[in-house]
Amino acid sequence: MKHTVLICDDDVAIVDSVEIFLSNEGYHVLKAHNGKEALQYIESSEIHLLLLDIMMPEMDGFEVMRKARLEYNFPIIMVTAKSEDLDKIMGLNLGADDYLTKPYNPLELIARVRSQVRRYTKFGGQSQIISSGEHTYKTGELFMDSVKKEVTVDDEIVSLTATEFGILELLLKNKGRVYAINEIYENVWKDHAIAADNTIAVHIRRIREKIEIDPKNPKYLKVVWGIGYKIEDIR
Amino acid sequence: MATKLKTFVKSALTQTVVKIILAILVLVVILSLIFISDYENTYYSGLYESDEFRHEFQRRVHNVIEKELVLLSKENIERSAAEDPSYDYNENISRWYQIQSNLSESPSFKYYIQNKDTGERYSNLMDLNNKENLSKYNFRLIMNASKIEATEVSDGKIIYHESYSRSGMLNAAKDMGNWEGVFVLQDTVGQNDIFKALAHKYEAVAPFLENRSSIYVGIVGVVILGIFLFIYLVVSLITTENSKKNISDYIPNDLKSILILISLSFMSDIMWEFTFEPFVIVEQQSDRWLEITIIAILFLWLFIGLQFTLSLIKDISRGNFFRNTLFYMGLKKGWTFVTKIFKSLSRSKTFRRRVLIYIAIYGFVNYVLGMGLMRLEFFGLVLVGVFNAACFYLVYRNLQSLQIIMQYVSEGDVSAPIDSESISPLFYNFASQVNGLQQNLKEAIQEAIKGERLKTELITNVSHDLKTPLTAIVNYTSLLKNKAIEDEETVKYIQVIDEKAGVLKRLIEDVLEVSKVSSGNVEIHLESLDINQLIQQVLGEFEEDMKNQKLKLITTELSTPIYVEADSLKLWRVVQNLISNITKYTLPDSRVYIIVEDKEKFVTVAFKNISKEMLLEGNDGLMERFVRGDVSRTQEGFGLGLAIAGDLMKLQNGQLDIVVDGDLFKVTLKLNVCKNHQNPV
Repeated sequence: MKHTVLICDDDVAIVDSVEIFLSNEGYHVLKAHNGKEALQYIESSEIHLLLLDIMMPEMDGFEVMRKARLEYNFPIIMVTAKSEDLDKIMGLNLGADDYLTKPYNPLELIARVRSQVRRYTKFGGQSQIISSGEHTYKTGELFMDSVKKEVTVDDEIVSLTATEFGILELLLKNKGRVYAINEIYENVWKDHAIAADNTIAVHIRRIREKIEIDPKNPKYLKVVWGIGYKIEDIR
Repeated sequence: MATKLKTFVKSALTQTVVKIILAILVLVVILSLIFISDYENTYYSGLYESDEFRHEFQRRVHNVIEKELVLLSKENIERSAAEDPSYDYNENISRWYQIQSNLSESPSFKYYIQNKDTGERYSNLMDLNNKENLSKYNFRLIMNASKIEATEVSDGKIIYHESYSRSGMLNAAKDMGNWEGVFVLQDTVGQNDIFKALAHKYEAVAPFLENRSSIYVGIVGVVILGIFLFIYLVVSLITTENSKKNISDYIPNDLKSILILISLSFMSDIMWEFTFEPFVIVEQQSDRWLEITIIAILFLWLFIGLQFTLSLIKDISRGNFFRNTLFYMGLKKGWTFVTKIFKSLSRSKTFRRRVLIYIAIYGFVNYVLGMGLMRLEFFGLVLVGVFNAACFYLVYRNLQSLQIIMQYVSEGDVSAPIDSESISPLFYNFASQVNGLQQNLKEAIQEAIKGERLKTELITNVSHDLKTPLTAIVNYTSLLKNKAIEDEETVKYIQVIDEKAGVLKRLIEDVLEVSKVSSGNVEIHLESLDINQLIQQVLGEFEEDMKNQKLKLITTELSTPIYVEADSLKLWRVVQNLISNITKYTLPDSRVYIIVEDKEKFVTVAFKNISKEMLLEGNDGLMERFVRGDVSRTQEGFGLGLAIAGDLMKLQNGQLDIVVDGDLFKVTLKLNVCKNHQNPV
């Protein structure tokens, strides 16, 4: 079944290009060039995802989102030229599931769309709490089975080295807690940190590259600069 | 030739010579006039009627009478003194010697006196009948009880005849009877004789007197010549522009005039008294010197007077006679002084005038109290003390107010105006002016802030507007890349577009950040963080890049935490930028140093690397150039990162310094050490 993605942007060229990317990925694409058009599509068609530009004439993205959220719970990815934190927070608070800042990498756009659509269609738009045993850990769409030594992100298996798995396991076991490099070293290597090298930092980066859509802008494995690393506790 | 003559005529030397000549001419005229007027009076009717001659002659006539008829002889004087105690011996004996001396000065003076009744005779003539060598002048005297009759005869003519009633002079001879005397001069040879001298003098002067008309003509000629010379001097003086000033020109005109007038009366007195006697046989040399001295003074006076006069004429002709007077200068000085005082009083609107008034009042009250003190004694003393204490308190309060104002100004705090209640009345105006200044400053600052905010907003908006078309470009480039294009050149072109789109994206982001950071429009959350760990974390991000460039990293021990006070994200941004630059611009296969040093109060982190490309000369204001964007234009890729890093460091109370030494590129970060660090969990 083809999933329907509604693209809403006042820039026709952008809408057209995104349409091509998403069509190539097998999505059905609806195009709206202002907020009113978008709302019409939302009411008339079944939408699986909305790519919404914020800065638009007549009715801006926030307004569209507010109205859509009154009745629908399909994922909304906010696309904005504004990179200020305030705008992101405002969008997320109004009901956006994710955000992208212009100019974005098209591949990242596709990855995020895919992630959101899969989650929405799989769980019917409802957050389904999977009962986690003692050996399984979860945050957002990141699952870990410490017995099977298996990690999945968005249902896709991620292959990690033993060290990487050990680090991720430590962080995932204690979601939200910040571990300093030395602590990670002591916990994973079971030894005191001796060498002044950046082994841990390199491992972390590699893990991030494997589990994150945008490693520079991580969702799960966050860097607290000068303090340590942590796994964000998402739901 | 003409010009030569002209310069000769106008030369200073010529003028001086002319002046001297003129002075000499005037001197000659004056001396001539003195000479003539003197001798004209003296010898108006010849030698025998000259005062001098008659005085000397009659004096001796009197002497002879006194000697022969009154004093008689030394023995007589002594006898009379012995007989009569009232007889003044001293007086008479000194008269005796005086007369003897007088007669000895004039050996040519001969006398013959005879009592007509008794035939008693006295004479210094050897032989009465020998009339040889006797002067043609004689003096006859007839004395009797009632009168004295004097007759002067010259050349047989009576030139003078007078009869007196008997007077005090010859009272003593009254009883001597009926006397008749003849007094004459006899030529004597080789002797000093007063009459002979007088005669000689007369003989010398007489020719001049006889020819006085020609002398007068000479004088007139000299005067005319003098006038011509004077006119010449005046004309040359007036016509010579910018003539050198001489000493007399520096003397104020009124002083000069007064000097001339005073000296004129003084010198005319001297001239009046002065008898120019070139023919007198002056025995005493000092008299001669006196004469010469007087003439020299006269000449000097004439010369100086001439100078003064000329300089006066010059000033008059140039119309600045009055300006060069002492009176004018004094008036002017006084006027400027007075106006200055008035100006200074009126210039300061309130302050100085008030202070002056207060000082005057203070002095006056103290004076009055001081006067009263004498009568009030102790109470007055207390009064003075109280008054002065009150005055000093007021002055203290005023100074305090001034200090408050100065402190306010120096602190530059424009948020609130000066509290006028703490200011003494004297400084109310001052304080309100400062408040006005503060108000203006406040407005200016607000205006500047507003302008800065507008600028930031403009940059932000433009950046956002740039992002939308850039997104389209990136998207379509991506689409093109995904297409199977066989033409290699097209693929290359697409590659370039893709790269440049990336650069453009970064630039837009940098510009946004710069405008935000430099306007201080960023929130900073200072916390305690481990700089060593942060460096490790960032290095982890660039591990691959470093390896690709074969960079050998040398660092200090990074596993021991060193806690600094910084904003986690901002410091990451800085370090990330620096290490990113290192991976991009370091010479491959070279060493990179990251040195962290704990210096008690602060921590320094030095990033050193050898640049791949030649760096710009010098490092002064390198960062400023990054800010201006000059470097990003010439050295592609540097972007605005360093400028942002510098601003971010400042926002974290830190510092970023760049040193370029040849190919060595060194960036030093300086951060405050976090003192009371609590281990973060």
